Amino acid sequence: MGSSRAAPAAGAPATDDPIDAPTDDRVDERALARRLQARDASALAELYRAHRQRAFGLAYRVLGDAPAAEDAVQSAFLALWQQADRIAPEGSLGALVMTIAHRRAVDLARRRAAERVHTHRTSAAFDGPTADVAEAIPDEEAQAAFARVLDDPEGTRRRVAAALDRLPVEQRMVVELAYFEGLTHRAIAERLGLPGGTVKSRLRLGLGHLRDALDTGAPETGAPDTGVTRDGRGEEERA
Amino acid sequence: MTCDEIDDLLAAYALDAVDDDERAAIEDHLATCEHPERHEVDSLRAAAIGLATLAEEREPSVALEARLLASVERGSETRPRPGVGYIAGRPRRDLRWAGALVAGVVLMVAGFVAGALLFSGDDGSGEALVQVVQKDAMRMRAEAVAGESPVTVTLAGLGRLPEDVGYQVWAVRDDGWVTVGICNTDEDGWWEGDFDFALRPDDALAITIEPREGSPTPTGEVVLRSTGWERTAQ
Ligand SMILES: [Zn+2]
Repeated sequence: MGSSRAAPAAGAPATDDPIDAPTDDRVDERALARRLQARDASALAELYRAHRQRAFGLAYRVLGDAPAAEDAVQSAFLALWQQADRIAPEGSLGALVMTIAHRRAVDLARRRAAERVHTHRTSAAFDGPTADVAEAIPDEEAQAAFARVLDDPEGTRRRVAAALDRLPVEQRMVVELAYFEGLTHRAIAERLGLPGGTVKSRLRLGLGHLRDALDTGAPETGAPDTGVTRDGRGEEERA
Repeated sequence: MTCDEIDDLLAAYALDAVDDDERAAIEDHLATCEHPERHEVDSLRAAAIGLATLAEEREPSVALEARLLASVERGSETRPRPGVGYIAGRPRRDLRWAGALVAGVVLMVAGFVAGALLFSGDDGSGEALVQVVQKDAMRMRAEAVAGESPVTVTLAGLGRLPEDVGYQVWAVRDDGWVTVGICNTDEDGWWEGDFDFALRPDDALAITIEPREGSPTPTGEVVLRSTGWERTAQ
């Protein structure tokens, strides 16, 4: 569907199959997606059971407490249910769940932080899957692009961990503050006392390195130079 | 934002490290601009999912699955049965418990609330309107045909109230709040039924806790409130 994806993601099991032949898992996922689109609630239960631990683990890592993390996870699955018609056939439900769950967790973390500032309330006010649900689901092309990242989660995990270890510490720090603490680039700049441009540049370089390590499909569209294949250090300090 | 400014933010966007305004600007821009680095963002988002594998897997509580499925089944699958506008309160012995629930509801409310979500239909009168509002475990679903009675309402997760009060549903209009009806939930926090009221396409909905006979204008805390109906082509 307009996707120019051609190369297998690193970590996809080596087989003799043509690259585009769906694996059994993928066939099952497509059936599951179709059932979700047909409003079959048992499909949602299956999806939940398959991905709940990973999604909850991620939300917990971002939010640091179970009730809030459960809210984020519930909201993510509900969003998928309500927007099931946006699920791309060549995407991965697992990757989609993780993308949405992360977004919901981050939203919740920020709302909670804002509330701490303004009131003494400690309960995490959660507005449920509301107005911005639609944007929570990435478009088809994006779904296709990250379809295979979780085909081999263990392999991906090893590669990401190794790549993170190799990052210059200042890049690693901003990437982790962004993804696992739910901070905006502006909040990171504030916390670290850095100019905004420096943070954006470090995020770019750091995530670019991780992307290269995962080989998650740098597009063939004239391979824009993001600066990430060069050593990032000297360049970013000018920002 | 210019193309360059967008490019500068793509990694932050992929990591969910932009604010809402930036996110909207980036998504708008990527949807309309053919600038050369627009495909970059997909691979960066894929890398972000790679980061997700570093979080240790955890088992959520068993209740979460039940909550999720209940909200789905009650909210969007079950066709509400017609009911009456008020369900009488339960025996006295439950009142303490019900009162505690009310307190819980009110506490959760402060930051409130929610937005309209599902909608369908073409325009003009006779338009089918569906609205879902959720906050924490509390959920209201309303369904109506524009300009026609009744409004079918489903409430879930709202604690049952003592006999002398009820949940009053309001149509929120520019010139004031108009009563749609009043009801009370059962011991599962659940109510479904029809109100004899004709909703307009631009009505938002709200619920307050009021004396059982209803109030002419809202006096209690706002338990749930939607931001209004939305419609899309189906
Ligand atoms: Zn552009």
